[in-house]
Parts: sequence; structure tokens; C-alpha cells
Amino acid sequence: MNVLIREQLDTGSGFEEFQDTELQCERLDIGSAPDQQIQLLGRDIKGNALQLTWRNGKLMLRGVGKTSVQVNGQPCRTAELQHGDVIELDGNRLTVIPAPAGFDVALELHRASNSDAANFENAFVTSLAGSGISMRALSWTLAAITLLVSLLLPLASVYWRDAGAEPPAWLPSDALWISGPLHPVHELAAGDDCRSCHQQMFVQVRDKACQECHEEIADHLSHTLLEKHPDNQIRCASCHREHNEPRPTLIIRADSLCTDCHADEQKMEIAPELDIVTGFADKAHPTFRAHLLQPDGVDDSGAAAWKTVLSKIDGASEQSNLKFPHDVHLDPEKVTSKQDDAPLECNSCHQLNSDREHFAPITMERHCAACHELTFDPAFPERQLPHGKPEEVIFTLEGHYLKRLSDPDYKPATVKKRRRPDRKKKRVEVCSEATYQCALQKAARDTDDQFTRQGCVSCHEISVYPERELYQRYAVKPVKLSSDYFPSARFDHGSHRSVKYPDDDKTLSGSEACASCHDAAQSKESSTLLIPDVDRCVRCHRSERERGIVPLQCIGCHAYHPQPSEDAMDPAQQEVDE
Amino acid sequence: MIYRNVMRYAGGRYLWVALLLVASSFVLYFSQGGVQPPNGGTWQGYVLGTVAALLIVWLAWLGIRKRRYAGGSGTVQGWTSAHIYLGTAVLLLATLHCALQFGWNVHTLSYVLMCGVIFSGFYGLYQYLTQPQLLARNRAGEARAGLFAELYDMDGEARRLAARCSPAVGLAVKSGVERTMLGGGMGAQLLQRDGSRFMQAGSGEAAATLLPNADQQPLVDFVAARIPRAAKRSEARNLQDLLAILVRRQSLLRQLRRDIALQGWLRVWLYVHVPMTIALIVALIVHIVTTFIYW
Repeated sequence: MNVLIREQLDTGSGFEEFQDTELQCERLDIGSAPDQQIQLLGRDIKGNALQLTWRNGKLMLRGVGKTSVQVNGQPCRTAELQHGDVIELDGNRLTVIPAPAGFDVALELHRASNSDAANFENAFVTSLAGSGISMRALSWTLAAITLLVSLLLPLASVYWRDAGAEPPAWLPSDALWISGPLHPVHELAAGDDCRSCHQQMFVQVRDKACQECHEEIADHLSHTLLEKHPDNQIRCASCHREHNEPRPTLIIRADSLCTDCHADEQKMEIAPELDIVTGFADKAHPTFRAHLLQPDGVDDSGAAAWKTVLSKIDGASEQSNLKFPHDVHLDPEKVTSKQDDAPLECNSCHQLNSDREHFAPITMERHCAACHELTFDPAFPERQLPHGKPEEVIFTLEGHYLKRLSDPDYKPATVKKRRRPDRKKKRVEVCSEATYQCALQKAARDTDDQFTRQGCVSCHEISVYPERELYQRYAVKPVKLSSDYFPSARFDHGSHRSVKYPDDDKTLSGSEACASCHDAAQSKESSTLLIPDVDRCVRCHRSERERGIVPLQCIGCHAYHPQPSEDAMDPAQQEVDE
Repeated sequence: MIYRNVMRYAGGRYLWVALLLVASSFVLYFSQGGVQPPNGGTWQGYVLGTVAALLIVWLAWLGIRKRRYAGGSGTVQGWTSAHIYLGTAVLLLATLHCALQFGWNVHTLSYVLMCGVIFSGFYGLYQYLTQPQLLARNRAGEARAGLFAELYDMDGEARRLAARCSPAVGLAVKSGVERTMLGGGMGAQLLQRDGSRFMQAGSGEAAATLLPNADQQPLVDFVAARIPRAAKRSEARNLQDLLAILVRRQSLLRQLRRDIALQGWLRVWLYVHVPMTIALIVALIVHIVTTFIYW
């Protein structure tokens, strides 16, 4: 549209003076901004306050936003303008006048007289407060967004899920509340379902939630003790703290896990049989008490029963019913390997298991038989007695002599060697009875030799009942070797295969390393306990960090949770021989 | 001057308070690590977190208190000094509380908002320590109202002179004066953006057009170009006078624009500091509530 703007000038001369401006535009914008076709300054005038449009011969007025304009003294938002209409905006006046030829619209403009500089300054926005950005609105908006996104929407997603429905993916979930990463295994098991552990809001995670998966975990304290415990508020999560960084494990390694109670005499009143432990050092840790096996009659099925007794290392004596002098076997003058004639090493018999703690069970067949053959008749060195029950031994002997004496080619043994003057004349077997009787007599004599003089009795404890008939006369006492003297503690034999003591320059390895703790070379009896006491350990290990000392924490040897049904799985009770 | 005194108020009393607070927080932090690694969930973590949260609320209240010049105990300088030093201490306290454990969660959101508040505060402090000198130098001892009064007089003078010139010059100068832009939106105020225009009469049948007049230079050039083409000596003198006024006006506008910008920079950080503080208080409440929702 073609617009003529006729502006009344304030020349101060007293005469009415006008300035005409011709404009050509689609729409006539009126406001305080400098790019408006008609710029009207004023504190309350927006950048673009009014818009005038020419459509089908009609001049239309529209207030932008909430701008309220007065047309002929009446406030309005939109109006169709006629000749003579007066638009008023903050003291400025626009009158629609008849358009001269060539123009669609003509307006006469009377500006508000800003008579002083104070009003003039107000026409400009010169402070941030007036810039249209409200600090208050900004604050409330930001606070509302924070509340919505971080609390209300996740809460909605929780209730959504509790109702059994899957909340939409865009909805912020309670994962926003996580205070740190989950242990990878828990993350795998629970995923992003916080409620699998945090089952009740505002209630700490209950042990029940843990035990839904960890069914087998046994408690450190028995229920009886727990009831007596003055501070019976321990939950799984008291120790196993999830969402913690940077340690990826949930296990507490600090000694205070144990010493908080075990160093406290008052707390330990509930278990008076246990010693006070303040750490791992000389006198801070009690001396060791080994689990020793003792025969305990027979059980309901008639098999030999064993019981475990706790005994201090000092002066302890074992009863395995096996005769074994370690000193003889470790003396190269007396015993060497049959294979290469080399002295025996510890690992000739004691082979470390893959758990690096325990050793493979000792068996007669695997560890003794190579040297200790069960031959009984020098004339038949290939014949051996069975390593079994006494009656089987007797049957074997009887069968052997029956066959041998009834052999047509049998010739009684004769003494060929000359008798040495200092020895008695060897008894010559003479039997004048029937072959059958002679064979049984010979077998009975050999049986008695085996069980009372040389043979079975060399290694086994034998009970002899002379009043009984032959087959029931001898009983081998059951043998049981302990392979774990401390079933509740851990010890890594593997990492001790070579050792260097702080007070010794030499690094020991092999049997020397073993011997530095287990004094086997001096052990004449198998009843001697070869387990070292705590004083041996503290030569190298203490709980406090010290120079030349390998720090050792309680959980280096002990576990908080007992193994499930520990007694039943006691590896100490492996039967070797009967 | 307040900005000189806040840092050294009462011999830096609050600096020592803050240092003591930080030192004891470090002691508390390093006493962790037995049963649990340093964490917001140990008792030490809870203590650090509680102290930091209470400090934040107190500091927010101080922000209101120090704006109230009358009444109450203490001085404005004292409160401001405490606000600055203890606010800085909160940054360390909260860092020790969280033991540098961050993630995409509401807890880190609180930390980030707190950092926003504190660092915008640092920027504000920097502005308060440096801007007043620049402001005073720019205004050359004049108040802003005085500068506007001067501009108002110049505008009147320019209009009067322009009315005596040819209609084209008249329209250009009059429109240029009217369409001079000062301040405006936040961006325009801070960056001294000038959207001024002037109207140039169309030649012949063409209608008038609005041309950009940033820094008034296009209008000055327009009038200057008319001087050699003046038909009469009186017209040339009018144009000379007009040009002199326009150039003085240009310089005054620059001064005003810089004043508006300096004042703006002195306050704009509050548009980060205050809304973030309110959001931080909300986030803190959410942080505490969610910690105990999933205890």
C-alpha cells in the first residue's frame, strides 16, 4: 500500500508546519524499534506495537501481543479505521485523513511532547532489568524444570512401573537418582530396576533383598549370639556398600571390620572362648589353635568315627594312627628316591593342590608303595600282600602257602648261609603234618609276623586280640591324616614356595622354604605337629605397614562369612586308609 | 569504597573463618578410608554434606540480607565479605563431600549448579573489583542522567538545524535522531549492538527507505556528502553546523552505549547467579530426598 505520513513539526515558531513522508509497504509497523515505519518513543511502547494493513479498500488496525490502543478514546485491540479516526498510543496521536490522489492511506502524526530529558531517557531501555528478561521468572523456571526433571518425572516413572506398566522411554527414570555405579555383577542381575534392592521407599535395603539371590551365605554370628549381641543392627549393607567409588569391590578390607568387635573385650563377652585380637603382630594376635583329629569310636554304621579337637600349637600331639618318621625319610643317608637315588624332597609326597593351599591326599599306593613293597615270601618276590583288611591278608597268605606246599616240586627251605657267631641259629621251618595243616600254620606264623613284628605293623597301629580266632585276631587302627589344620583360615602355600626372611639375606626355595616353617627333619614321630605358630608368621607379616614387612590384613587369612556347612565340607577329614 | 573493603573486611576475618572451615574439612575427609572409601555416605561425608548444604542456604539468605541496607546486625561489607569467602569454601566442602564421584544423576546436578553459582559469583566479584573504575572513567565524572540531558539538547539542536536544510537532509537527520537506538535487549546492551536507522527520501517517484545507521556514521557521511553540493553559503554553514552536532552526538552515544554495556556486565552475572541459586536449593532438596528414597 502507498502511505502518506504527515507529521506535525514542533519548530517552536508558533506556525503549524508539516513534513510529508511517502512510504510503500505491505504492512505499516508502528512501535519504538528503529526499524518501524513509524517510530514512536515511549517507555510503554513495544518494539512493534501496532500493525496497519490495507485489504480490499479497508484499513485494519491490530495491536501486537497485549498492546491495548485507544481508538477515538476507546481501548481496543483490533479495529477497522475510517477517516477521522484517532489512534492514541502513550500520548502520540495518529489521525486517519483523506488520502490524496496516488495514496491508499494518509495519516497525520502528532508526537507526544517529551518536554524534559527525564522522559527522554525513559524512552530507552538502558538497564538489564528492563530488557524483558526477568530474573524472578528465570529463577522460577529453572527451579521448576529442576524439580520436574530430577524428582517428579522419575517419581512418576517409579509409580508407573509399580503399577505394572512400562513407562515411556522418554520419561526420566529413577536411574537419575543413582549415587554411583553398581557393581558389574549387580548391574547384570538387577539392570536398571532400582526396586529389586530398594524395595521400600525411605527404608534402608533389607537383608531379605540380598538373600533373594545370595541364599547360601551363612552369617558370621549364630542366631543365639546375634540375640545376645548388644549392637544387633548389622545389615548386609552395613558392610557391603553399593554405589561406592572408586573401589569396584563390595568387600571391606580394613582390619576394623574384625577388630571393631574382636578387639573389644566388652563386645566379646558374648563369646568368651575367643581371644581378643587387636591386629596382626606379636601379642596382638593370639597363638594359633589347630584343628586336630582324634579317633572317636565307631559311628552308627560301624565305621570309624573321628572328632576334631582344638589345640594350641605348642605341645600339641596328633593321633593319625600312622607311623611315619619324617626325619628318616628326609635323611639322604637312609632314604633316597628309588627312581633316581636322589634324596627325598617335601614335594616327593606333598603335592600342592590347584587351590594353592591344600595338598593332594597321601595314599599308600601313590606315595609309599614304590619303596615299601608288600612282599612276604623271599622265594616269590613278585607276590605282594593286598593293602586291605586283615582277613584279606590272611586269605592271601593261606592261599599262597597252600599252593606252594602242595606243589610236587616243593622243597623245604634249607639253610645255605653260614651262621655268624654273634647271631642265633635261624629257626628252620620243619613241619611234619599234612601239607594242608603245614600251609595254614605257615600262613598263621607269617600273619603274626606281619601284624606284630615286621610288615603291616611297621606303619600301622595294630590291635591284637590273642583270644580270638585268627581271622578276627588283628585289627588295624583306622588312619586319618589331617590336611587342613585351620579350616576357617586361608594360607597360600603357592606364594610361600620361595621365602626371604627380613633377618636373613638368603632366599629360600623348595624344601628349604618348607623346612623354614615345618621342622620335619627333626620329627621322629608322626604325632609331632609340624604346623608353625603365629610367631613364625609375624617375622614377615604384620597388619601395620612397616619397612621390610609384608602387610597382612585380617581378611588375608580369615573370611567373615563361614563356608556353608563348613564342618560337613571339612577337607581335613579325608580318609586315607583303614 | 565497598569493593575495596569486602576482601579485607575486618582484617580478612572471614578469610580466616573460611580457611579454618576448609582445613577442618580436609582433616575430616582424610579420616575416612577405614571401612569405606571416602564417600558422601560415611559419617564424615554426611557431616561435610550437611555443613555444605546449611552453608548454601545461609549464603543464599546472606545474598538477600546484604541487599537490605537498613536494619539487622552487621554491615553490608561484612555480609558481602562472608558471602564471598564462605561461598568459596563451600566449593571445597562439597567437593570433599562427594569425594570427586560424578555421574549423570541428580547429585552431580546439584554440584554442577553449585559450581555455576560459585563461578558466576567469582565473575561478579571480578566485575565489582574492576568495572567501577572503568565506569567512572567512561562517564568522566558525569552521571548518566546528565549524559541523557546532553543528548536530548543535541537532538533538539540537530532537529532545528535539519529543518533549515533541504527536505532530504531534514528527513534523514530527523529520522536519524528519532531512530537512534540505545540499549534495548540484553544482548544489545551488553554487546553495544546498534540497530539505529535513518530514512532516506526516495528520488522521484520512489518511496522513502530505511537505511542502517550503526554508530551514526552513515548519517554523518550522508550529511558530509551534501556540504560540497550546497547551493548557497548559508546552506553550507547550516550543514557544517549540523555535521558538528552529529559528530558530537556520535561521540556522546558511544559514551552512553559503553556506560550501558559496563553497567550491564556489572549485573548480568546475577542472571546466572540468582536463578542458579534457586535451582540449586531445589536440586539440593531433591538430592537429599532421593538419597533417602533409595536409602
